[in-house]
Amino acid sequence: MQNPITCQWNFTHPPFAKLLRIMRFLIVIQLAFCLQLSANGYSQKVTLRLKDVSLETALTAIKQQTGYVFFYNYNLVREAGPVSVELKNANMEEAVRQTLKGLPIDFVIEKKTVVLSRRTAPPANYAQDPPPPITISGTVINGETRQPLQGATVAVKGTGAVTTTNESGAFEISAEPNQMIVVSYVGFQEYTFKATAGKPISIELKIKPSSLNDMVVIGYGSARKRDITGAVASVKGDDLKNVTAADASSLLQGKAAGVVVQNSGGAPGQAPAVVIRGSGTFGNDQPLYVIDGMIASSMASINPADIASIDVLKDASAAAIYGSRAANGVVLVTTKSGASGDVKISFGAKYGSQSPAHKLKFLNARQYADWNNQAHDNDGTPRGPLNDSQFNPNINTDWQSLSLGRAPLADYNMSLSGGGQYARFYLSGEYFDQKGIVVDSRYKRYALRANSSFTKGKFRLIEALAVSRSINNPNTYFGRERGELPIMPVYDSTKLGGFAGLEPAAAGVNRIINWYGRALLDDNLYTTDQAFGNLGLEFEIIKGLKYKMNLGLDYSVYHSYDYSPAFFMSTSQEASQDQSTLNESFTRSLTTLVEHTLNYSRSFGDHRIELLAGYTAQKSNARSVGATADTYASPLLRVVDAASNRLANGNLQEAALQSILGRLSYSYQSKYLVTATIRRDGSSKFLYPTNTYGNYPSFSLGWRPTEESFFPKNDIVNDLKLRASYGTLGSQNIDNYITTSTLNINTGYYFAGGVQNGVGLTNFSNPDIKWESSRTKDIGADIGLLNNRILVTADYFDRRSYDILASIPIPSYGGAGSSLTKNAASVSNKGFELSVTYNHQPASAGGFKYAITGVFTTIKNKVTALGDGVSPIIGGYYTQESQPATKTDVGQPIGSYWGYQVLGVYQTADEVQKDGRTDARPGDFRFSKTPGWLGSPFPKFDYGITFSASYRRFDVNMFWQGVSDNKLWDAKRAWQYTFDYGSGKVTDVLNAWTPQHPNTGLARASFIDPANNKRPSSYYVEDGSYLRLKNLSIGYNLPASLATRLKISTARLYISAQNLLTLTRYKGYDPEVGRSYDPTVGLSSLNNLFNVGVDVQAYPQARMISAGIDLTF
Amino acid sequence: MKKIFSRPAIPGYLLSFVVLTGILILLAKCSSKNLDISNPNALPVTSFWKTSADAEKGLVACYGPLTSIQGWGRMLGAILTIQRGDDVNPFPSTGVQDVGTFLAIPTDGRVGEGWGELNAIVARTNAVLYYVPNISMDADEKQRILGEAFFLRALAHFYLVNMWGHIPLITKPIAEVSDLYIQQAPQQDVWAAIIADCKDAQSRLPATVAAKDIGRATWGAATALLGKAYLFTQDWANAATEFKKIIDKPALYQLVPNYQDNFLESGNNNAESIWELQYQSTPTGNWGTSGTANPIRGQAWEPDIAPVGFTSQGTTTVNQWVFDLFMEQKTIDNKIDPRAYATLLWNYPGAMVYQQTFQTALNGDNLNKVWIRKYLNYDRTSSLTPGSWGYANNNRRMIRLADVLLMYAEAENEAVGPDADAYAAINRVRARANVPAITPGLSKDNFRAAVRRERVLELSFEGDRVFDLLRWGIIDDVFTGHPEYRSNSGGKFVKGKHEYLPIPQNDIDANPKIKQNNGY
Repeated sequence: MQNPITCQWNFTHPPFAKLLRIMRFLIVIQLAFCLQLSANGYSQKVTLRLKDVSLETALTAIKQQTGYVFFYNYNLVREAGPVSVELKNANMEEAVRQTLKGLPIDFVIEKKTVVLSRRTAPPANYAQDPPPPITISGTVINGETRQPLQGATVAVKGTGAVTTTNESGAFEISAEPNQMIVVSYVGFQEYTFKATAGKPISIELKIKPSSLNDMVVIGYGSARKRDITGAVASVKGDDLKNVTAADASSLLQGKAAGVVVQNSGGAPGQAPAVVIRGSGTFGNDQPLYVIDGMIASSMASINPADIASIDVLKDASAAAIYGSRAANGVVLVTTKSGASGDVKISFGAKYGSQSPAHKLKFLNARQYADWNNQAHDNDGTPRGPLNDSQFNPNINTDWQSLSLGRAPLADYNMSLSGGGQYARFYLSGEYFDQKGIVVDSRYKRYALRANSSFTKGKFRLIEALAVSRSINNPNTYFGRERGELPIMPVYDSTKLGGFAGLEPAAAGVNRIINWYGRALLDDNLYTTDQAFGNLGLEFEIIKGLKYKMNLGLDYSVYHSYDYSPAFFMSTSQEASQDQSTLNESFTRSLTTLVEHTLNYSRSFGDHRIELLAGYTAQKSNARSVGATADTYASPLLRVVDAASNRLANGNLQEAALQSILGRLSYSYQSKYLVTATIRRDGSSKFLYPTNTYGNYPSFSLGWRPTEESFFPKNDIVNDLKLRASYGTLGSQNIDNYITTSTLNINTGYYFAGGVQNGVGLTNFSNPDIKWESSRTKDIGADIGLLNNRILVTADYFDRRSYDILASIPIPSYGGAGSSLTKNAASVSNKGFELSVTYNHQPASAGGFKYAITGVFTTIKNKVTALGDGVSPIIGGYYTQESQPATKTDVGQPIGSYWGYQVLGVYQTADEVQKDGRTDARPGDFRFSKTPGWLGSPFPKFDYGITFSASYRRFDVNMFWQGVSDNKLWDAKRAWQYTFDYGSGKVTDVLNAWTPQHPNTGLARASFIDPANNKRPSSYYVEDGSYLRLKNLSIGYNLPASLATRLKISTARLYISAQNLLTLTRYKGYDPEVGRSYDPTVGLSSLNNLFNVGVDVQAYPQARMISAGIDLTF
Repeated sequence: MKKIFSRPAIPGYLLSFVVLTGILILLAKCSSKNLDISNPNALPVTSFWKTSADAEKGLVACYGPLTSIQGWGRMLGAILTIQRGDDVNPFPSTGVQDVGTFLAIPTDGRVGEGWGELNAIVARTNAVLYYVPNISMDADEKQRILGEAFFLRALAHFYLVNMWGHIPLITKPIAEVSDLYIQQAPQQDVWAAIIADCKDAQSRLPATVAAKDIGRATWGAATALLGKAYLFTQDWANAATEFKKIIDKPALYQLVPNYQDNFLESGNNNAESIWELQYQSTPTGNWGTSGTANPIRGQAWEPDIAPVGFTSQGTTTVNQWVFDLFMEQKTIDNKIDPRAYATLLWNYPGAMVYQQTFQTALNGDNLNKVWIRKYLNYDRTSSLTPGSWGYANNNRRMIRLADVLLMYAEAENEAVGPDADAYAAINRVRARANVPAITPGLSKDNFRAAVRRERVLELSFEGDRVFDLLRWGIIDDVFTGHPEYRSNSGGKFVKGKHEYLPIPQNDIDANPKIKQNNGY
């Protein structure tokens, strides 16, 4: 038993007995969730044989045998040298005495607690008279927040004398004059001063400029940033707070390298698309969201003020622990928790006024009538009388001003946090209310959160629960109403519904609808009630080995309500409805998660090892029922029961995922780092049992040259870590049940006596479908320069996605569809990301302090294969006739623009003839002979720059965000410029070709458009680059004296401007087109990758000026 | 044992970790059954075709595609049939009217939709004919179900071969997708299959059905289609024999006194109708998409033929020669043929377009054009836009007695010459319109010409014209000789190409054994 390792590992019991005990414990927990642990398992007698181990180890061994708890100052025990002890069935007092033999430590045993203290009596060999000690007292505060710091360590250097600050930050310590006193606190710079007698001193600790010691959440645990070998981007809650957005995922825009956030216009409540390291699928490319350990579908319901940090797992190494769902990256959200100390109450209120950042110039009624007449004259069709003989000079409706205007936003937050040694809590509430700048649109959210943690002995219970209601009241016609004809009045009290309309023939157009009226008539309300949270139980089985059970819950009820009353505007298509209709449905969803994990973390000497093993099971179940109803006795009755014609629908969606996972991290002196991760997932979405399982391994290495002896020690490069990783990830973002062929019951037929049911096979399914996968290589570096004042993180990645589901054509003469989904395509995303932070610390407190962070991403997306027989994917439909803007084909980015080049406008019939065109005339576009690629919607660069500064009581925050070198498809040119059906026109159409005005790039006015001038072409393609001042805010902190008088701790007043300035050449409403709103899909069509940047009807972004106050008590 | 554990080879913590991990893995193994989730929303194929109720539902599914928007709800209803004739002159409308303006390409969505819907009927009838014989059920009911399925399969193949010319012939259910990779069948094989199916249907189907089942195939429908199949393959004698069987059943079928009753909702399922599609809509609009939960099965091709201003679609005018043909003859009391008013819309005193007068509804040049009247639903007085989608319940008569009479006259003339029976048939049609009998003693050729003229007067815009031109072998001459028939669009008929529609590109891509039709 002299094996040194055995001793080091403090192994005194036969392991078998211990294991049995642990296993028994674990099984009890797992199977019954019932916590029963008998203290009888402990003995009152101590048997111990240790040689040259640390005192801590020895005490721990006694503790484990006896269940006695030791209470001591950590430094006291750490400073003690190695001890050796040999005991056999010794009683407790004897055991402790033997262990402390020869050490300057006294002890007292009280009940089951042993309190150790520094021996105050001078040691026996005390010879010289020391200088008389002096007592130094003072308070320690956080230099940033000016809050007292509880638990800061105050130590006299070289003596071991140490104390900690109390809850008000105060301390008192004895030292000899001129001894150095060191004040330290995790995450803050140490503060050292010379002991001198005098008044109490006030010490401000500054936050460490380096974030290398920050803990980063990595999935099933956390790690020091310095030890991480994967690519992880972390954003702290404080960095998110300046921008106002309903959906917290918007706040990531421009903040994390490699994370591209595409806002899809600015509708209240509109979720942005979040793309991590490029799109590697043709389906759902959105990341996996994990909030406090529970899987979530989005961040829509979370109160942004509750977020403590967001960590984005980007490469295979970081994300592999989430295996089959991590191919699109993982966003880990950690919400706030209480800190021990006094109860802290925070209150925040913000009120803003929004207005359109940009407006278009539309023709007035007279100009429009002239244009319309011109088009009819060109077509040889009769003019609409309302533009000609019956033109009414009194009507000149400005639809844009009617539908687009100022709107308020209010956001109120309150939180209560605090706790003590054994329990902590964080409670918060939010009310968010944003009216849209487009008439009749609004989003509201009520959110409550209760987070708490409890420690009892070796147990720790962590709980997070969020309850929210969000109410979305969208205007589903917002893209259309500003396009109405200025010759149409708004109201007409003689018409059913009260809104005016015009007869198409009279107005000289094919159709004309008062969309503004329809928006006001319609009643749309989508409400989501959600309870989301988890409960974690942690038990430290033996030192370093922790078992954790995590139970997660996501329960929501979604109510969708669309009511449209009967109305009549005119006989135009869509301008009348003879029955009121209601479309209403409820979906109740429940997702549960059960996770058991074991975490083993241990340092021995220069070695540090972390092991993780776990089992998780997730189940989800969503049941919906709804009805469509029409034929109402009165428009005041708006429930299904009041309709005489009703039709019901509903379905059930179930899915399950079961996984085992493991991770090993090893580091030697924090110099050489290795992480290996594996996850094995089983999913119900694939054919059971053949294709159920997938394995996702990853491996990564890290090296810190700066820790090597050969590396020159200097302040220029003071930290350097090189990282490399490789791994495989999966994606199961596909619909349920796609692998089995089922019969369609909607194949009935109406015979004269009524409908009879039919059952037929309408689609073939592919039972062989398996996971989409991707392999990612990542090479990165984390660099600290100039004493960590500059921090740089750079990564190059190469991500190859394969087995992407694509539709391969099958013969439609089989009578059951024309395509079959198959794992066929491949996409490559390669890119470089860089994040640079510079921190300037002032020489004195209150001096000018600032930080600049720049985040830069470049990604090259390319389809590398579509699969045998798969035709290019056509998408981005932008006209009534469904003309497509995009094509996805091998060698090009997903959803690239495809069409003809406009080479000019024909001036003479000769030119037309020379091109062999029979459909065109002078004034029509001259197109290239064949269509070709017209550009990519993906920016070459995505970037964000954050500047924050403070001086005395003022602080300033400025955030710029931009994209560069992308193209947008300004589809509004199809109808607001020329060509299309009834729609108001922008003033650019005055530049259309006429024989008198031949020198122009714009084709002649025409409704018939025989030359198909509106076909996909370079005419629509515009530069989408922009640089936007997303946020500028200026804050003022009230002086402490005033705050105290007002009985508050801190108070900050601020004003903030959002989207204040946009530099762009784009001619539409807003260059942040994103995945354009598609009314047929619903408010968010995030899954449609094939219409990125196709601006069919983007909701304009608002410019907002807001003012607010943050108070803490 | 004791020895091993008193001298552990590996550190105990690691051992505990490993053992506990093992427990976790076991836990995972035990519950993997939970991953076997089947679709709770739909029936797997394997659990169907067990009972007589299954047989009935499987059969109804064969009718489903007929009235969908992709079927005769719209695409087959007008775009792929009516608009292809030389009687109409469609306006250009990219992606909508390309079939009628001779601009259709193999990726044309409308062509693919019609093709898909007819083939869906084939696939579903194949399933019925394969599975139902093995179901133990009432023998009469089984025969009727099989008979209807034979009829619908013949009908689908009839339209497929006439529209696309060269089609794969599939007569069994598809077990594996790979079974689909076959070649096109020779046309005579397809016709033989149609004739065989019609005979199988004719022998099994009842003459009449219960009121609630009106719309189902009957003996008369099968007999008429069989006659048509003989007619199209120029088996004149057999064609005449089959048509005669129908004519000889006056208790079953009679011409209705008022010609227009054949094109109004009020005349649905009248005595003249041998088989018609049953449209049925609810007052809220939708598309009637095939295979979706959708109550709408209204007639949705009205916008494709309604006059300009009453539709947002491309629509069409009527060619002058048709108008002239109507004006050439008068009734016995020297009036305009009443069929002209029911078929055409032009600027005559008292002419109406829906509830407006022609003169106020149209303006400019449009006042001088001739438009389609047949199948428009003037009776609608609601606020619904005339020409909006899917609201009309005006059934499409697929085969009516007048057509059978004219086909009989044609077949009899070709088989034995213009005998009394042939004269009687054509004159019966004319008499109903109050127009004089045709000149007696015509030569075979002249009688043929008279029948062809009569078919225009009687059957225009009912979707048969393009097939008539094709089977008479005159489609090329008619269109190439008269470019003005497509003056609205400037569309040009290419000989050897536009007789047939393009095979959808998807199917060419999917199965290289399928050959594209000439010229596409």
